[in-house]
Amino acid sequence: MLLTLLKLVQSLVSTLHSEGTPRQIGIGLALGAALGLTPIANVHNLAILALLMVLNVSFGAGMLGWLVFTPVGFLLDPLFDRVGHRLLVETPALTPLWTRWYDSALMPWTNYDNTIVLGSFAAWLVLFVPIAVLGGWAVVRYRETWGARFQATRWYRAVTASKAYNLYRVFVP
Amino acid sequence: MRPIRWSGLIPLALLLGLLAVGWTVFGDRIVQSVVAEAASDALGTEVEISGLRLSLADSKVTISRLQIADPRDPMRNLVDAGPLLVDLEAEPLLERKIVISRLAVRGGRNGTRRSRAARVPRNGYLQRTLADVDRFRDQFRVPLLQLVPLDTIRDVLLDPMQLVTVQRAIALHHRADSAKDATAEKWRALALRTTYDTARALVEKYRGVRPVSLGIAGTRTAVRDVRATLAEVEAAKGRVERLHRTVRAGIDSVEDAVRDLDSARRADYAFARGLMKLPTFEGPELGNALFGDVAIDRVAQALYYARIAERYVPPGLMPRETPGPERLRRSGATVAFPIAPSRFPQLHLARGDVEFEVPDAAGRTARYVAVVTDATSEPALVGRPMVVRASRVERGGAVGSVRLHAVMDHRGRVPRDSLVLTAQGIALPRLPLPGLPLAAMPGAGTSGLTVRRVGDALTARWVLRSGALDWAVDTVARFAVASDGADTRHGQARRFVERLVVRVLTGVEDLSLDARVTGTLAAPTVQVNSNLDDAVASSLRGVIGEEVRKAELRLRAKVDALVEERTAPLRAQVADARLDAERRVAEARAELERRRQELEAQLRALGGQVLALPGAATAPAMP
Repeated sequence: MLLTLLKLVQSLVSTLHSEGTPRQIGIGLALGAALGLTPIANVHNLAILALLMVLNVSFGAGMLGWLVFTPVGFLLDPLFDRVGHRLLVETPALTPLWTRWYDSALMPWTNYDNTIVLGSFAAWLVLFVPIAVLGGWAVVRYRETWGARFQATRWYRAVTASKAYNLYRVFVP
Repeated sequence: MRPIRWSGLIPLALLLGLLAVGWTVFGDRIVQSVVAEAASDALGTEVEISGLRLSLADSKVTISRLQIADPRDPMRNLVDAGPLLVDLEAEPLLERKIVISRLAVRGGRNGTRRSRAARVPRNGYLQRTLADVDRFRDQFRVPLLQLVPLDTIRDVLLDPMQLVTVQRAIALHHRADSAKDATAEKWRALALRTTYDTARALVEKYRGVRPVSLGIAGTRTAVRDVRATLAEVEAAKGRVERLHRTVRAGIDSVEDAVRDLDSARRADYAFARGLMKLPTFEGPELGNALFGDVAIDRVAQALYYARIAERYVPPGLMPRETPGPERLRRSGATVAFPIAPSRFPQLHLARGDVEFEVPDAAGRTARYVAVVTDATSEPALVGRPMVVRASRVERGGAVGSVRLHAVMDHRGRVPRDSLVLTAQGIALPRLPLPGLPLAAMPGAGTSGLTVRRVGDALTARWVLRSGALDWAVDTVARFAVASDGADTRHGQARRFVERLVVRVLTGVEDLSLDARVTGTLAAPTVQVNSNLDDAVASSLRGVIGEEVRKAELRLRAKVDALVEERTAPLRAQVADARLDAERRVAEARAELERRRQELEAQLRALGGQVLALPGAATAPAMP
């Protein structure tokens, strides 16, 4: 628990004070939100992880997004279940699509036919842009207001001096 | 700014490499754990898999050992088999569907002991199926073999109020009392005494009076008074007659109700006879009582396995929702969509060859082979019914044969299942007889079980023949019977009947049994006939029939006595009421007639003398 909290803090600090642009941080955050909002053991999360590594976005923001949105995912599961059920069962216009996917190669392995998986993925798609925009805006505001003051603190210097921070620097664009 | 971070490819490659290594090292264990957990959840009992090896290149899976725990006994296995070899088709796997072209199972056994207790959820699928089958079994009304002795009459009829006749007699008694009070009130209302007194007074007033002394006016008044009184007397007579008719009708009604008590008495005879639990000695009842339970067990077992298979071979083709996988987060629901006709079913076992061993009734382990074809979750898609064939394999010549042929046709909405199981020349299982310290040991014989189900309708037949019938006495049950009420006349009489039945049965050396189950799954009935029924029935009838007849006569006498105790006073009450009514009416009629005659005589006297008076032309006319 303590380690998770420490990682969260380091991730937050490194992201906010990295050289990444707000857009990179916002998109990284939005991609990481997928890992938290949807059930983790699914194929699409491998793709999200690959995108975080390969795209020129903030990996730290992605990890931060994962950590922040995981409890949100747990809390919103009943809503995701309803959304998934509405899409899978109660929308006749989509049934031919689902039926086609059911008989296609690889698509069934994405577990799209589970209400929680589909509902949370659909919710993430809808929230991707707002999370990215809000995340970028929040970083800009932070850097304009608290950023400089925080960088001067002893605590910040201690965090950034840690070896873990050096490893994070590998992913700073 | 470059959109692609090429340096990120390195950790990505490392991650994929790590996953590949992890799969290579742990993949088999992961699949084994996932399959075991999924199977445990599906069946509702612990499924243990050991030694699973997955070869994706060959699309093969081998399993060293498969254990499915018995949900009723956590230390026992329902199925213990191994090794298993599974040939999968590769293309359906891409669609997350499992099509097994061939399954080979060796070394299957039933009832092996486990090394540790299984984890069995309380309301798993197998347990729910067992509970369903128990409920099916409980629907049958199998009569108990009644060998209760005949001296229980006094224990039965302690409370006369149980008899309908007595209850009705008491109600009639109250009704008669009410009628009597009402009649007395009506008699008083007639006020006949007043009429009598008025008439007598008038007669006395004008007795010996001459019209000359009254004068014409006085005589007219006298005549008018006499006529008025006469009319009153006539009116009173009319009231008496009407009241008589009413009272008579009421008494007739009560008398009719008393006569109707006889029909209630017949119902009381039947009620008391039912309480007595007289011995069963009619053929069909005996057959059901002796073999009903074992016959139902045979059918119930077939139904049990059919219900298990039905969960995975459901009828029809339709979208289905099932609970999602268990995880930290909510499971949600997983929706299965209709599969296109040209595509693969979700699960299909094209052919399975199973070898298994089962201990027979003689305690020897017999080997069987079974072939299962087209077991699938989408029978309508596959287009062929699921077929199971099994037979017994003996080394060194055939000693006996057991054959099974079962078909589950769930291609349409209405399931059609059938099962034919025949066994010849093998040791048939022991058949305990309920209510008796005996078990039938058919020995080597033939047995045939046929079960057919179309939708909810069920027909089944179990035939058993044996020419080497032997008997085993259940010493525990015999001791319990012998010691129960040993010193009482009741206990002695019951043991006499039981000894007779046991003597008759143990003298029979062959067994021919025919049990039929018909009806629906919700309302089944069983009918069992056997050669033992007639043997026992005729001997019971010979010995006990006379005793039963005497017991029935005593029973009727007892019921008659209890009923007579209530109905005799009632009949007397009704007779008294009738006599009293007739007496009153006769008295009233006589009195009123006397008064009428006196008044008419008085009128005549007044009228005759008036004619002798001067001016008699104006005298009133004679009535």
